[in-house]
Amino acid sequence: MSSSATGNAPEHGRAEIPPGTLYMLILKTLARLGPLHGYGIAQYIQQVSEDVLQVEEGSLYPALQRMLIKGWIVGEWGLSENNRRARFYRLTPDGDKQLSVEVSDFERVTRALMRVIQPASGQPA
Amino acid sequence: MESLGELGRRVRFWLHRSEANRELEEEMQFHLQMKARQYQEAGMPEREAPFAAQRQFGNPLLLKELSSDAWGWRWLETFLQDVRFAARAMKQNKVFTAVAVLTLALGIGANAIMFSLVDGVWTRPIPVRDPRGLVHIFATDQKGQPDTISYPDYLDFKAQARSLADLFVEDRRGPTLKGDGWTQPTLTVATSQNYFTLLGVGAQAGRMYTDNPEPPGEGPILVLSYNLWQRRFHGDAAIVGRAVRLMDTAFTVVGVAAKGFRGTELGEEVDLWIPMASWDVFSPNDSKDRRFHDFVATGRLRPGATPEQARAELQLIAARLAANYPNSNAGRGAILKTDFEYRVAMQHYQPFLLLGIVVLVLLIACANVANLLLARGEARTREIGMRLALGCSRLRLIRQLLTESLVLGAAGAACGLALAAGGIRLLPAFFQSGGLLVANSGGQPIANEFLLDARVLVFTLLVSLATVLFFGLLPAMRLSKLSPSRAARDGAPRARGGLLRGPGLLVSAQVALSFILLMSAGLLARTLIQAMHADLGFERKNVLLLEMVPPGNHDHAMAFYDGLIDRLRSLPGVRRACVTLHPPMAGYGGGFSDQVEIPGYLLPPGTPKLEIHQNRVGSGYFELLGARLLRGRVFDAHDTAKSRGVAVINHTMEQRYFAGQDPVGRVIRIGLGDNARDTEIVGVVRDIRVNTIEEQPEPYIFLAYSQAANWAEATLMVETAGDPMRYANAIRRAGLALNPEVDISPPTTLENTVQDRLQGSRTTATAVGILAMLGLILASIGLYGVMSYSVARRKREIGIRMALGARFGGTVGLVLRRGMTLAGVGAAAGVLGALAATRLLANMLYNVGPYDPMTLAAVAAVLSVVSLAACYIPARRAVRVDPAVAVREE
Repeated sequence: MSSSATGNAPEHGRAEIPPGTLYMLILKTLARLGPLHGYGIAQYIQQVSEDVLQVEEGSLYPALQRMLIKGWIVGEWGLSENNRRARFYRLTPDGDKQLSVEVSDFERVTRALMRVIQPASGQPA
Repeated sequence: MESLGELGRRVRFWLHRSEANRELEEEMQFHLQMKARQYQEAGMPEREAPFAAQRQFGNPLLLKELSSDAWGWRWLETFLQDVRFAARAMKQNKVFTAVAVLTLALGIGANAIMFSLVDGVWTRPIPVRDPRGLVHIFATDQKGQPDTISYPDYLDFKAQARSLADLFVEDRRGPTLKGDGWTQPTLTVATSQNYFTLLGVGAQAGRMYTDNPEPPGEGPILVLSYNLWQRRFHGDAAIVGRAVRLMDTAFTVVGVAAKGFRGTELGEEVDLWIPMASWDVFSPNDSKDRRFHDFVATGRLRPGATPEQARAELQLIAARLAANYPNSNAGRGAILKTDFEYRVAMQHYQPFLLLGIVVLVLLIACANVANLLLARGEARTREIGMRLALGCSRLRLIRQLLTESLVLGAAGAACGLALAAGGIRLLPAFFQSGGLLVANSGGQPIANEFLLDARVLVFTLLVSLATVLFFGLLPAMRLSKLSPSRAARDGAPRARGGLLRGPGLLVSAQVALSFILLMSAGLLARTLIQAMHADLGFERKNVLLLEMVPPGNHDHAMAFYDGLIDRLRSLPGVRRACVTLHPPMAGYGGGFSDQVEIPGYLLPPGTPKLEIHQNRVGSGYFELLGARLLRGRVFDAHDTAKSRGVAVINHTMEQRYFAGQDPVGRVIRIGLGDNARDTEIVGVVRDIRVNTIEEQPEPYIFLAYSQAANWAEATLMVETAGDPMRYANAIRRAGLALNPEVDISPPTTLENTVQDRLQGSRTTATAVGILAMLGLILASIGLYGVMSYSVARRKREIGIRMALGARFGGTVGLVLRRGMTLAGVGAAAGVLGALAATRLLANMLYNVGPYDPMTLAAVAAVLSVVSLAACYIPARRAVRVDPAVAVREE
């Protein structure tokens, strides 16, 4: 089985999206760009992260469904840039709140991680 | 935590799931197209781009499922899917389904019926306010044994015990109620005024009596039970305010107690309630004499008070009473039992035994269904191997197989409930006229207590669930362990024991359970036979019993009885006739008991006065019953109301209280205080059974009926040549001819009366017998099924053996040996199980030990024959196989 897809989409330099951050990335994307369809969300994250973060479709759509259920986003059908019918997701006030929760949680964890992996200044090595 | 909004969205999604799925699909399609376009723009050929996008995207079907998982209802959908699948499979396999469902229905139905019986009589709380909050108060006698209390003591307890919110007493009596053209003995409860108020029982019609004084000049009053009101007064509300005649005294009916309230004891059926003030018209001393302790006290604790506080306080009051009234209360204490402790003390465990037995039957049924499932599972190995090979997880497979069992179980439960609904309606007829259940004193079965209500439904549901787990889990686990490659390769595994070990084990267990069931049934049947042929100390053949109440006082009555007996002498076919207050074994509790003083017999210090049961009998009584006279004489026409009081005692009394001396001619004192009377012992008779066949002989005194100044009612006993019922009408006519005013109850015979005493044993033996038969049939079906199956699987092997010249007998033996080994292992386990289990039956047995070797041998013989038959049929089928066909078939 040959892999022609990899030919067009280079694999190196990519990372899996850290577990638990997909919601945050989707919410942030919607907060920044307004209503967007699934494909657009995936593209945006990939582009902004300079191709480091690759959103797997296998996790994107289940995540979007769960977010719909949780009421963080709503989906509305509209026309895409090339006049195709597409479902556009929009942030709800609940989603907005959730975004700030996720971001502050993430920052807290990141700071903690940084403290662990960088030697504290002023301490003898 | 799931918020309400989230739940709402879930439900909305699920309700519109097909639309949601469509949208998801469209969305993904859009994604794919966009992706393909992207690849194309990056220079991929137009033809290849969609495929590349598809590959990158992954399996859209799986993705869709994963996405819709978000709604969280997939378990429900898969469950419904499994149910539909199971239903389809059941429809395809009609015979299997019918046998399995019928087997389960029998097991579950029997359980539902038995539970409704147990619940209706023993475990459902009585319909009063807060039944579990009742407390029961007893006096204790000098030996510390619980005893009933006297009315004056009750009044003191009620007034002084501050830990009790309230307290009532009741005393059960049996006066005769008379209506238009009928008389019936009643179970009447004489109570304190606050009885209904404390219990919180309301009126169906009229009013209940309360602590408020009755309007002056009313005379005695009573309250009817709902059932008596329906039965005797056709539910006519006009009876309220009218008078009824109780033992020739007019009582005003003030009300009818609420439907469903039948008294404070489980299983009892009270007909009438009478406040103490009204009961006083019969015996005014009952409520004033501290020595007359005949009352049962029930009350409620004051809120916040503990049973311990109440116990301590009651002890204190009892001690004070003992000090103040040493004559009557010396050495008497008081104890309190909570409702729970009281129930435990009552030891109503017989119904639970029956429930245990019916559960055994269900276990046998379950084993059959499990075996059916195992056998069917083997036919499905290819299907299941395929599922496993395609990546179905074991857990998922077990879940699906259990769902199939659940569907079977549900069908079984539904049919079982239908069976139970019919069976429960038959229960009252089955238990007619007393016996296992307490019927009311009118001989009417308790009809309204067995219900297919929520409690029975919940019980059935739980039993069915347990059943499903029991019969479904083993086959499911076994099948899920199949190796997919092997299952797919060669279909059914060869007959190498393997899966058959499970069925064999189940069959052995079934035989063991049947053994226990048959042993129980056998022991109870032997008990019944023993009891039927027991020597009661009297002759019970050809004796007619007619209860009658002539008008007027004792003297009038005596004249009537003497005249009637005189007339009967000239009636052809009548041999002897006499009167008695109570015929033997008539269920009157051994007659009244009274204090007896025997001069010369020294009571051990600290023991209470002797109380001995007594009956009043006319002259000719002992001759008619064939009760052997051991000493002295029996009553004759010279013993009259005016002559000296005379008594005949039984052998046990002679032995216990007159060690070695001749009691004839000795004078004993019978009665309380001023009522005590000197009575001369004129004779000693052999012991006769008074109440039950199983009873141990107790001292007993017979007094002359002719000297019973207070009594007018009696039972006429007539010994006849041949069937006594044939003479009933003639005797009745003779009585009415002598005095048209006399009340005569429907006739019965002494034989019937004795049979009625056996009703309980008979009912239990019949019930257990039916269940044991059911168990045996199910177990033999199980054995037969497993042997047939095993033979079918070894068809080829047997064919080859036969082709190679194996003997007919040898091959039959081969199959028989295997079947009988299973049965033998089961029987061995059954013997051990039965020895352990039948001990529980010990106090339901009479003249039969729980390890009775005869019963054991009989059960073993029955099981052997049945097992042999169940194995022989498949064995014969095996050797009939044409070797050529058998070898070619596979």
